[in-house]
Amino acid sequence: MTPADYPVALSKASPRLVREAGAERRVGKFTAGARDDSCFDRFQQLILHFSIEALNNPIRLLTLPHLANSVATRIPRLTEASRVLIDGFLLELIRHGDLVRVSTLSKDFEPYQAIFSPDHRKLIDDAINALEDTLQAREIVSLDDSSHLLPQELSSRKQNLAILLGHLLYRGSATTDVAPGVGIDSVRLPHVAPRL
Amino acid sequence: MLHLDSRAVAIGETGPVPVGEVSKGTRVLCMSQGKPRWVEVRASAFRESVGSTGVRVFTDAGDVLIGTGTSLVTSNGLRTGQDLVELRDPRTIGRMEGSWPLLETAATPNEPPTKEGAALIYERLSSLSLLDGSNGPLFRVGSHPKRLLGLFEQAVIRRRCLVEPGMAGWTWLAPQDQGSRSEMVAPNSETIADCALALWQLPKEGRYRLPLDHVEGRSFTLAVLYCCGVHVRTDYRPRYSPHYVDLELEATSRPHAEIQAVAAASAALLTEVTLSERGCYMVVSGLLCGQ
Repeated sequence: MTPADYPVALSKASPRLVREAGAERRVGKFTAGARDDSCFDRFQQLILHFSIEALNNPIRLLTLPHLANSVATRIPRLTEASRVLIDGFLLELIRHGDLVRVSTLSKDFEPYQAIFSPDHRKLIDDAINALEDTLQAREIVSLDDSSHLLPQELSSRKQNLAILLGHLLYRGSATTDVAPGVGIDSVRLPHVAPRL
Repeated sequence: MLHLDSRAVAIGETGPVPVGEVSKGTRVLCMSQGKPRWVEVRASAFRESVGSTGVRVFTDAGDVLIGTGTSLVTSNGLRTGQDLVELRDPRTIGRMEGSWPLLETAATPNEPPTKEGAALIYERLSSLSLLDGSNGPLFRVGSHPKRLLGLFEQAVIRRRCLVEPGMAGWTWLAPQDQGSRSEMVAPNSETIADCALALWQLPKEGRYRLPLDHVEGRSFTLAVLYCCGVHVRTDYRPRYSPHYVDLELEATSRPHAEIQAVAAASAALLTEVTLSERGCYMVVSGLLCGQ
C-alpha cells in the first residue's frame, strides 16, 4: 500500500485530496475519503498488522491512545489527515474481535480499557484466574508476587501486572489500601486486615 | 422454537427465571394479540454448539442475546437476529450506526411480586452478589447510601454485616457470626427493586452502572425491576462495542425500545425453547421474542 492510498479525514486534508477522493466512509468521528473503497480495507489491515507488532515482543497491554501512537510511528509517511483516523480503525478492529480489551483501573482508580492481541487471550485469562486463586489462598497479592506467579513473557513488564491487578479491583474481586495517584502495588480480599 | 441466551431472564408465574432454568411445563409470560398471557413451555433444551453464533441486541430498555434465526418484535414486524446484524451500516468504521426499527416492549405487570416470589428474588440476589471470602462469604454490592445497604443486609442477607467500602464503586458486606436480623422487610415492589439496584454501582446520584461481563446480575436485576413496575432507560457504552451499561430510572414506561448496538456473539450458549402455543411472543428481558 502506498501513502497515496491512505484514507484521509476530509476536514483535515488538502482541497486536492478531497477532490481526488473516489470513496467516502465515516471513520470514528471523521468523514474520510480515499481513492477507492479498497483503500479503507487495506489501511485497516495495515493498522492491524502494526497493532499486533506493537502488542508483541514483548507482550504489552496498551491503552487506545498509546496503541494509536505506536501504530502511527510504524506507518511510513503518515500525514496528520490519516493519522487522526487510526483511532476509528482500532475501534473497528476491537468490534471485530481482532483486538481484545480488558477493563482495569488507573492509579487514580478511574476505569479504562487496555488492549491486547487476541493471540494472548488464553494467557491473559489464565493469568487473571491465577491471580484470583492466589488471592483466595493468600488473601493478598502484590506486584512482586505477580511477577513470580505469572509467565515471564507477561510479567516482564510491570505495567502489564498493574493492569491485571487493576482488573481484579474493577470487577470487585479485590480491594486495595493504596492511596489514589500512587499506583496499584497490591490487592487484597475485602474484610482482610491490611498488612503493613 | 426460540433460541435464547441461557442467562437471559423470562417471567414465570413465581417471578423472573433464567431461560436456562425454564423446563417443560413451566408457564412463562407471553404477549398474544396485545394481551399478556401465561403460556406453557412444551420443550426446553440447552444447546451448546462450538461455532454457533448468536446476536446480542443492546437497547435503551435492556439487552438480550438471541439466536440468529430468532426474532424480536419490532414496529415493522418480526426481525431475526441476523436481520438486525445486517441492518448495521456497513460503510461505517469504528462506529455503531444502523437503520434499525424500534422494538416493541412488554408492558410491566399489574401485579407486584407475591411474598413467595419476593423470597425467590431475594435468594437469587443473594447468590448473584456472593463472593468467597477467606473468612466466610462476602456479598459484593455497589457503594450505595447506608439506607440501601441496610435494606439489602436486612432483606437479602438477613444477618448483621460488617461493611467495607472499596475504591472502585464496590462495597462488600461480611456477615457477622452472630446477629441474625429478625426484623422482616415488607416485600413490596419498592423494597424488592431497591435490593436489585443494590447490585449495581452508583457512580453518580441517580445513575447506576454495571460492567458488561456481569451478565447474570444484569439480566436478573433488569427483570426484577420489570416485575416491580420500575421503568428504566439503559445506555450501553461505548456504542461500537459496549463494555458497561448505565441505567437511570424513569417515571413512565415507553412502548418501544431503541436499538443502540448489535453485536454478533460466537459460540453462544443458547437454550432452545418451544412454546405450546403459536402466535405469541415470549417476554424475555422486557423485549418480545418470536419465531
